[in-house]
Amino acid sequence: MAPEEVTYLHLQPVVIYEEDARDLAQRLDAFLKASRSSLVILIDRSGQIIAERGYARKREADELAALAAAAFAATEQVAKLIGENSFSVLFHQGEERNIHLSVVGESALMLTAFDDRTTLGLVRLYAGEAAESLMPVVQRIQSRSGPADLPDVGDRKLFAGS
Amino acid sequence: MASINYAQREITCKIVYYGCALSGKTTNLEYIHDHVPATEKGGLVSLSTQGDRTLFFDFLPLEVQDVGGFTAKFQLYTVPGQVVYNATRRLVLRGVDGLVFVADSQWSQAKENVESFQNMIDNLSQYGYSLDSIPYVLQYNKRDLPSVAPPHYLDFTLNRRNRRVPVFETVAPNGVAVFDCLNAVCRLVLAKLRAA
Ligand SMILES: Nc1nc2c(ncn2[C@@H]2O[C@H](COP(=O)(O)OP(=O)(O)OP(=O)(O)O)[C@@H](O)[C@H]2O)c(=O)[nH]1
Ligand SMILES: [Mg+2]
Repeated sequence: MAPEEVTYLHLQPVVIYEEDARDLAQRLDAFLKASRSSLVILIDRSGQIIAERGYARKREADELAALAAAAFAATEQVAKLIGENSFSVLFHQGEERNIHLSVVGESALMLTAFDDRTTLGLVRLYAGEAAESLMPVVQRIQSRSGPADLPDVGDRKLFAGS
Repeated sequence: MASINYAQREITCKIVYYGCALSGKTTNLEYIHDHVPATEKGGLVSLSTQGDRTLFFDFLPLEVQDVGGFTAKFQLYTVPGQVVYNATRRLVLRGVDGLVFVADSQWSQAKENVESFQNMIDNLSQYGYSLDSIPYVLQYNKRDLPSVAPPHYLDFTLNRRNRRVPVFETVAPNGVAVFDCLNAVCRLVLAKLRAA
């Protein structure tokens, strides 16, 4: 078996400050408006939400993010197996809602939900532009290392069960 | 990888339940899902085959309000234990912050446990991760069954690294020690974040 490549990922937490959240929200809102989409979620490649704008039911976004990151990762591996390294967009066409998933740099993904008020072409066009404008903010966030002023949970029981 | 969002005052961490086929990983998440109040959980998503074997992963988002002024969100995942699903197992590990290794305590699974533990180490190394830097706990599951190895034997095969880690003897379908184990790994992950 050929030696497999190692993807070095840092274990430092991602830290998002008010100004980052504001910058992301502004760019994502501009994208939603221009592309006439209903929901956009910026996701890190491990499935966690970095930012989210538009309409999602409570906690729907968590599930969407986890599943989208997994679908993307699986498809990427399939692409690699057939010698395709330049895989960057996934699209799911539904009856009423469609999902567009595209890359934002190396480490993030952008999930867009839209319906027939817009078109795939429009979403794709503006998603590309949005990725460009989001990239520096994402890089800024991910290149920081975590600060220590977090709560001490001590022996606290987080989940009681019942 | 964990994120700390000061705008929303949220901490989010990814916790993966790992272990050999049929060791009880999915059962842990099912029990937790059934026994956490609705305000603290999202839906349990299971990507499984028709025979209920995990195909890709299970996913359960949990959250605790007011952890020192933050909402702590823990995203629990399981991997598929079956050997053939290694590619998907590895994908689930991406960005992991804490691990629960679920061993099947039965003598008959002794070899499978050790192989799965080594497989976890190998898959982590594909991301440049090491067990020395990721918080984890061990779960010796199926303690209710008749022919199980004693804990000291399981320690001897699984808890022999420089750093000895907490061990939980569980019966996952009945919830025995399932929450103790969950709380322990969550606390370790938060403590690690503080120290970062
Ligand atoms: N007696 C007993 N049975 C258990 C225990 N935990 C799990 N089981 C049973 O073992 C079987 C497999 O459990 P799962 O939780 O699906 O195992 P898994 O680790 O998710 O398996 P894969 O998805 O294939 O990796 C099920 O029939 C469970 O009910 C336990 O503590 N005691
Ligand atoms: Mg399972």
